[in-house]
Amino acid sequence: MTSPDQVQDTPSVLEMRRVSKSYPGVQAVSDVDLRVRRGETVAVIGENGAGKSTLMKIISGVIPGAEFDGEMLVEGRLRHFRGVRDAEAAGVVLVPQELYIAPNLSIADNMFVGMLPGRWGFVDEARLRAMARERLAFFGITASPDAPAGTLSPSEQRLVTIAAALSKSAKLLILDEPTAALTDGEARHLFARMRQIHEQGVGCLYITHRLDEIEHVADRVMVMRNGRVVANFDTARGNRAEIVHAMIGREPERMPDRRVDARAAPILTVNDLRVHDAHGGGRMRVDGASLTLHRGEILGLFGLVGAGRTELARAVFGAWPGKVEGRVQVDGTEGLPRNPREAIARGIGMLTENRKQTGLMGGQSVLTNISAASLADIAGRLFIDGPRERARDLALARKLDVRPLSLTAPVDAYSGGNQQKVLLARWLATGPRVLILDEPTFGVDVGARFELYRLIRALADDGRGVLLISSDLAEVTDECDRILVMYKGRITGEFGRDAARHTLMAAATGEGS
Amino acid sequence: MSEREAVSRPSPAPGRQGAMRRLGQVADLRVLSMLLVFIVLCAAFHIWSNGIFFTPRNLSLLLRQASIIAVISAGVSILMVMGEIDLSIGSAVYLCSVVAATLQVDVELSTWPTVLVTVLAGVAMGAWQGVWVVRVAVPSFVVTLAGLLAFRGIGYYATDAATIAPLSKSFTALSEGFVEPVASVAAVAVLAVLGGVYLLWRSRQLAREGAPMGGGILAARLLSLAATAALLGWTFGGFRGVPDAVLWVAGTGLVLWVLMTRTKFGRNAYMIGSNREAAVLAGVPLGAQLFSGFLLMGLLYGVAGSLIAARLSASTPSAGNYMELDAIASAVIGGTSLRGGVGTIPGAIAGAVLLATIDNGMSILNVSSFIQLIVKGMVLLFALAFDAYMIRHRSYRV
Repeated sequence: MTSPDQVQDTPSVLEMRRVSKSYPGVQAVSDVDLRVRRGETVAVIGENGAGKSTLMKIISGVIPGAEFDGEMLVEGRLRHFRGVRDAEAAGVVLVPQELYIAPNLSIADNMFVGMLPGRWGFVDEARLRAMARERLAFFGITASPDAPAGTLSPSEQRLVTIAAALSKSAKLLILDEPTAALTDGEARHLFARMRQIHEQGVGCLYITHRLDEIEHVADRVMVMRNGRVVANFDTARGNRAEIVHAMIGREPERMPDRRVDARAAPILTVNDLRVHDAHGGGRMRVDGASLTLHRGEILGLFGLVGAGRTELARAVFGAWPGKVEGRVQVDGTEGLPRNPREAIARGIGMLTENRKQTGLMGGQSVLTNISAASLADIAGRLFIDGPRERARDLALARKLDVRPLSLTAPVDAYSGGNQQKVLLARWLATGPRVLILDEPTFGVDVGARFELYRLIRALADDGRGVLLISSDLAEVTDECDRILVMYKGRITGEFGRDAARHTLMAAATGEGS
Repeated sequence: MSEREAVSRPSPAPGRQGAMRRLGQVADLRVLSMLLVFIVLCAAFHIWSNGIFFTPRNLSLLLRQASIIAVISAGVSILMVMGEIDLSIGSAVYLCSVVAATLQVDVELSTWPTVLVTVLAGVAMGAWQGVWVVRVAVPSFVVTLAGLLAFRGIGYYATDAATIAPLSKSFTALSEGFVEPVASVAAVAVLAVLGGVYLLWRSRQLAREGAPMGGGILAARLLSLAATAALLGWTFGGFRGVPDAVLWVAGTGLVLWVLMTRTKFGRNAYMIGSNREAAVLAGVPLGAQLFSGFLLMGLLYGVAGSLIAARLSASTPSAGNYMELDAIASAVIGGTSLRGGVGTIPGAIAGAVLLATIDNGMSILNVSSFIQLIVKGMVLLFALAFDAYMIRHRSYRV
């Protein structure tokens, strides 16, 4: 990192002056001044809807220069990008939050799509492979450039996307929540790479919800709220409380500690669960895992990506495509569910990881989305009881404080946190005894996150068992009554709620016990 | 209008207001543009044809022409909502018409048993395709492409590609008969009043639930109901009454509409179409749902096969040619998305009427049938382009 004196003299890669953008009825960004110097990382933080995304769309050319007010200078030159290609040509590269990976194409193809090295109109395969290999090595990914991108884990896919962006001779790199799907180790790895990139003079805008990582990665912090810049910090260190305050505009509330009945009856028992690879590979995804979840308990399941947590959850929920062995007991009833339908009938609900892909029914109304798993309860043999359905779903949406409160609006129009509430409502509607939550706060902003935690606690207080899968250490240690750690398909440790972070991390990386 | 649109508009939070309102407008934009195209076409045809087009006699003919496509496009729109497709429609309907004609001519079966067996034959074809899609997991595009070839081949082989005729009078009357004009007008009036009462009752109900429909929407619905009823009453009163073919459309349309908007089957169909994986994870029985869809489609092959045999009083080797394309085009014109998850039964039927209007108008104007093919191809293309535009528009806003 550079000292403040040097920074003053370093030329800017990006300068924005009084930039504003409004949509009909919404002032998305107003009067934003922003400066990114060479080799510097500026963290942009704020809750969902604060205007971060719109700002990044302006910088990266998604919103053309003609459609916003104010001035934008890249490397000292006034710029009006007509589109993303324009911006990329000028060295501004956005790595979006969502992954755009074509799983059937090779890793190399995915990295260099749109800029494949050519020779006489054909793709120069050898050079492509060499370029890809070099980039992969830089990020420490040991995978063949020819392998289909679908074989990478989600976190590796994320790293590959970033690696691909950097290969576009970037001067300004915009990272939108790059660590959302990464484990701590992978995130540290990414930060180390970013420092290397900085030494090449690349400036970086870093958007995140995670305050802990700002200290590692950001030289300066800019906080946005309601489309405006509300605070600037010259360093992230030691300013955490002020940053949070600036972000949400009020004091964050502390959760009271939960009291759990230690003698509560078990509600879910899993014995010696073995989950085979779905495609006949010899690998065991879960290798003899056992756990007991009690009534009224929030049990955390922590581990790195690929540790087998999701596979375990899917197997218990009857949604694993491969072979599953072992014993599962729900509230005393024995038997492994063969499909989600059976699991739901037996009182299990699962809020799935990656809500866009496996949860939301896009284009459909909130009503349809809430009722999805519980149509049988509001329908007779044939017909759905409309008034009853609407009354029930409205009550649920109100209870979970879905905003704006509407049953007819398409679910896509909602923010991440509210979408998650809609999906939670879907599972509450089934009246579950056991609720599996797989990364429930992924891509959810701070304010909504605390709301979700409060809801999860309320669910447990009602006597349900909650299995909370997370790769967010703070989430597991703050929200769970008991924590299990998985590593390579096995449960490698059980901890109380006061477990230290490094012991959890050790168990999750196989260094513990 | 479907249930999903009928429930109230939200009162959105400030931040999202623009996007949501625009979504609401976009949904109506499709209906409005369809209506506009329909009116412009009618006016143009009426003027060019020197006043032949907009007469009860021709409109009655138009509705009869639209009827078979309307029935079948309602069916295929259900498959499309589930993210599937059926390219075998034309051949399957032809094979059903062969079954009906053979039973009538060679077996001399009476009318209703003929219809029953024909429908069973259709269901068998649907089941055959359903098994391949569900059990063997072959994409429906491929399965039904095979059906497109095979079903017609079976029909040609069995009949030597000959016309089978004539069918009994009572069978022909299935499509070509009419309800008494006086009774027809009365029935239209009664249905219009019932529809109006239903709309009012529904808006009351929604208001009671705290999500009122909005006076403008209610008024627009009542007005369009009254206009449609008046037009139909004028047509049927002015020319021989309600054609029986239209009764079939009304019957199947009503049943399928209720199926899609009020039942678990319908809800599951929309869910499967918009996100199959999420639907399975929410406990939707995917296989059973898809299979039922193909069975239902098969049932409609039987209905359409009977209707087409009745209409021609024969089974002709060219029957059903390009019918799958007309049906899919109608569904798309009526707002069904090829990506699944979007589409309504009334929309598909309205799409069929619009397509028949183009057909009928061009025939009146003596446009060469070759040109007619070109025009219909362009209509399909524009409908799809419009669909693509709407999707882009929507995803940009949200």
